[in-house]
Amino acid sequence: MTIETPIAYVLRHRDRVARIASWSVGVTLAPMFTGRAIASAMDAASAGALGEAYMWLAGLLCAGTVGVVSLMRLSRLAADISADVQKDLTRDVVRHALADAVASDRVLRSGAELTQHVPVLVDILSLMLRTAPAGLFAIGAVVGLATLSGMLLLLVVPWLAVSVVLLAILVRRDTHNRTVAAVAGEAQYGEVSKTIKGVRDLMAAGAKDYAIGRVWGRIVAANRASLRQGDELAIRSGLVNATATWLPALTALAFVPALVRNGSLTPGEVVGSFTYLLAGLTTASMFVTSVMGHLVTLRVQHGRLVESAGGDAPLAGRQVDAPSTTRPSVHVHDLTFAYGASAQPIVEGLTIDIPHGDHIAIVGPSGIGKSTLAALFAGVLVPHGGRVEIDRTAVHRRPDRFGLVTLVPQEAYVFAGSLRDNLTYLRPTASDAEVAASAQAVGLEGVLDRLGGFEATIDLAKSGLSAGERQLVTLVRAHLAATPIVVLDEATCHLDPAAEERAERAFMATGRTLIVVAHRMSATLRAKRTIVMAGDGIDVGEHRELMQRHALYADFHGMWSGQQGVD
Amino acid sequence: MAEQKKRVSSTGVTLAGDLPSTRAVVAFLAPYAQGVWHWFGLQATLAALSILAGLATPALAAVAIDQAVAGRVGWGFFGLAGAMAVSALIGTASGPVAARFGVPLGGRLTRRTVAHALGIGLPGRRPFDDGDLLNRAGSLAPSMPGYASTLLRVGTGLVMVAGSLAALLFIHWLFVVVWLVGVGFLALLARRFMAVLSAEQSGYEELAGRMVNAYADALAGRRTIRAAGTVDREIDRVTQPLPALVATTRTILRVMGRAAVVMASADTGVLVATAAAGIWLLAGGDLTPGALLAAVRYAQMAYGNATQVFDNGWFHIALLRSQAARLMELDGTPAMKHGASEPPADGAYGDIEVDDVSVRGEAGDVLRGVNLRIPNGTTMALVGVSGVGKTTLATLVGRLHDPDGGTVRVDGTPLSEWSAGAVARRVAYAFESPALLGDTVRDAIRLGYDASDAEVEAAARRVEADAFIRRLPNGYDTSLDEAPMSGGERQRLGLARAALRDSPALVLDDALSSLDVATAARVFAALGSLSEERTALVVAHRASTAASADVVAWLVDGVIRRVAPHAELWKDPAYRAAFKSPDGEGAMKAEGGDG
Repeated sequence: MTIETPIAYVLRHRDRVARIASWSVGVTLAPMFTGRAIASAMDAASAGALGEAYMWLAGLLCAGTVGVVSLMRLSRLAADISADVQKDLTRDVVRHALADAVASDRVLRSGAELTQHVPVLVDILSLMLRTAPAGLFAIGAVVGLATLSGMLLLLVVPWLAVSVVLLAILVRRDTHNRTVAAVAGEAQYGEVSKTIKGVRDLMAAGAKDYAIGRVWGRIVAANRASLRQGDELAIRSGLVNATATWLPALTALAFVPALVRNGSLTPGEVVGSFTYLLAGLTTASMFVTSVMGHLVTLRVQHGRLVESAGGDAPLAGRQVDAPSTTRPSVHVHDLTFAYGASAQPIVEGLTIDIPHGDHIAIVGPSGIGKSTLAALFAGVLVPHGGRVEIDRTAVHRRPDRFGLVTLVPQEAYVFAGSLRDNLTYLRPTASDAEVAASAQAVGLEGVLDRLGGFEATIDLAKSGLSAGERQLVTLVRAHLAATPIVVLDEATCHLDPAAEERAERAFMATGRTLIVVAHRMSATLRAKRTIVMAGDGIDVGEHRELMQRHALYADFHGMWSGQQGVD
Repeated sequence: MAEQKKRVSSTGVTLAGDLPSTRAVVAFLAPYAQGVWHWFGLQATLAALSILAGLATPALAAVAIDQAVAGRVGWGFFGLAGAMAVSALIGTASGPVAARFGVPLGGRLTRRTVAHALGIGLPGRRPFDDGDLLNRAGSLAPSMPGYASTLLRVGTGLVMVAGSLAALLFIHWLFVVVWLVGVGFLALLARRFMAVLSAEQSGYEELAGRMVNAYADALAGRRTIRAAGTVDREIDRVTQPLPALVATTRTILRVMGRAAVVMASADTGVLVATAAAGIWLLAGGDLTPGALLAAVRYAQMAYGNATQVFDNGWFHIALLRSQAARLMELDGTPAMKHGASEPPADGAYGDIEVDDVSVRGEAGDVLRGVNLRIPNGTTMALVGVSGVGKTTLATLVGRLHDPDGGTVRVDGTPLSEWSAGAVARRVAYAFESPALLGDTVRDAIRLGYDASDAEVEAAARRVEADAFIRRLPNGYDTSLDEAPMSGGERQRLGLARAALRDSPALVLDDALSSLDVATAARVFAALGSLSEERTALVVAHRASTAASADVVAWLVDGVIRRVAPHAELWKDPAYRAAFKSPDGEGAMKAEGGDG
């Protein structure tokens, strides 16, 4: 799935684009007919044929009416297409960004793609679709002029040709300049964003002025780029306008006396011709330049959008609603995993059998790779060597793994919405009684009382929940999911020890397989076995064995007890 | 004006009242234009010149054409050439000139908006969330200079309309009558169209804000989403406001399109009507061919400029006024005020006194009548179950926000009397999840503090961050964007930041939570041993942390239950329940039972 160009999104609505094209013809009719009608009307009036003169004007009015009706239809179509493009594009950007973030576990986005790029694209697109037919005015004016005087047309066309060449150069240069300016503008926006989000730290460090200074640096750079873009654009469009409007008009005018003298132009035809040359070409040139400007902006914005959305990523798996009712066992054999080919392996040669209902703790110093191991258990990461199997099938290959394993990471994901929606996230069909039972078991009643029940809305903007309360919500969610295997990856780190123990015991009471990346050593005492990850390898054993044979493990417990170590 | 009386801001607060007046918006923006007014003067001068050249062009064209029809190239031709050249030059120069006024103005307004956003307090304690502030500072403020040039454009347009009408009157009164019939019609439609748009616009921003917040939350929850295989549902959730958003877009675009149609039909109408009147006069011999062309041009110019004024100008003014209202609303939100006191040069160093402090939250009191004294050099642990107000209390002692009642003093002086910056020099913080700002890892540790590279590295060594930083691709100069770090590593950068600021008082708000117990204990000792005189307040979740503090403040439901050493409090089962399971005996019994 990719983010296509804006034009490709527009072309998804081929039928409507075709209708826009046909209404465009109607819009062009009046500008094409204007000079001709005025010329004929004037010459008829001069010849005393007022009736014929007004027939010509009536014809012009008809053409104008057709134009207005066409424009009405066309604008509506342009608005609808643009709105649909906004829908498709926003959805694709969200899809793309989420899929990539979920797959790569990195976030390269500031949100500017939704708040800035897409709306700007849509605005420009609608304006462009609405005014693009005006570009046809130029053709209309040329065709109209041709009906009045082939000679004047010949004088004008070379200028118009030069103007087209200049326009092409302008578009190329301006694309470059606008890209530079857009990048600088995004840097400014990004810095503003980071600064606003970092207010607590900036206050605490007394670094507000420093941060504002950084923002100002980005502002200055962005301003410089924007001035440069504006200056170059002004000079180039000045040249385009000169060759498209006043130079052709003056050239034509210089030859008019000669053409009138030799009888190839009537006074009416002169006025009619200059209706095209003064009004028609000016309007057309104005619209063509602005439509080109819009096209350039579209290209630039699209480039920025694609860049900020990152590479393509596949959608990661589909959730299964019903938890599995089997009693699966987990087999890990000679498991090896490293980030990158030359990096030190995080897990090497781990073998462990975990029967259903087992309870394993994982401990080790921070940064050693406990979360990586948890992710391997859940099938989120793919082993480089060896196997992690549930009932003899590699867990990452099992499409039903979402019904078998629930992984609760350290970062509690709570979204804006009702508390109930948050709790039933992994099991949308859960009954009220089941939700209440899980909430009671895990220890959410304090939150429930404070917020006022399951229907309470969680408004994240107003700091409705503390970090610990958020974790409780995700723990209830996992408890309710009722998958036979649960992996808690420091999912209780913001809870106090009492709350942590209560939540963990709630899982233990269900008889499910529980794998806990321990935040406190007390978790190892509740577990049947512990995996100790240390710099020199991985060890598995019961508490008593490990206390005897594993120095680091014993040391951890010594620290935890607040005593002088266990010798 | 038929503007709506009620608007809904993106925070969900309904604001009563009108949009600010033009005068109020100008007064709000004027201070940011200091030093660039001459560019605005030049812009206005160019506008005036362009009016003159523009108005002269059809008249000169008429003369030139009448002379051409008479078979000669006369002064009309050269006059026309001159007027067109002047118009073209002004057209080229006016953009860059306008930018030299508007671009600096937008930059300064943005800086001021960011600075003010940093001054109105922490999220949750201010009426705007992060996304809303970002929208105001990042998007609205930079776009505000458009207001000045739009006003000028509207002014120019109105003069052009008046001038064109005067020219029409000079040619023949009949043309003016024809023109005026159309304009009443136009004004009527435009006024109606404006009101619709302001209302639609504010609805749009609220929906967009909701979507962006959901998007940011989902990106942050990516691990959960991955493990649960719920990407599809997240896409649906984030884009849930999309149909309503798109419907609003469609309405806005359709209304804009309709307005354009109104203008276009008026344009055709005036052309035909003026030509009809002109033909009548021409047939009667009251008009030359050139004058007819001039009349058509003036009528079109009058309409074209009226179109500019109504279609673009007034819409933009309405839009910019509604945006200005949002900036002015932020500007009117009081910022934290600072006094002039500087810390005493010697004497007390970081003696913290919390006097009868209370803080109200959305759902009742967070802290009630808290009294606490942390004498110079003491390390105090703050203990309590989740959600009793530990973090809130911790944020008060460095004045990250003000209490609703009571006073916090450091070294005898209420924090509100201290100068900006003085508090931060006296009280350093490390947090559970620090915001890492700057370009590189080194920037993030330094965070504006004036320190040598060696000092930065020494601070990192103290909190055991040096080793992992050196393993990053460019060590201390690794870009923060390219250094994906674990929670514990980020915490250590935050701790290094605090260690670098050799401040007399230190607040650790759960800042060791992602470190393993052994590392946490070493880092804690290193920070405490930096100076024997250092005062520290530590939000503690581990018994070992509480035990190593000189004294513990035990917080229950927003009230201090007791202040005493850990060993003494430990006798109280209710206190032990705040940690509960690290009860050595009980745990060993459980273990014995298993074995």
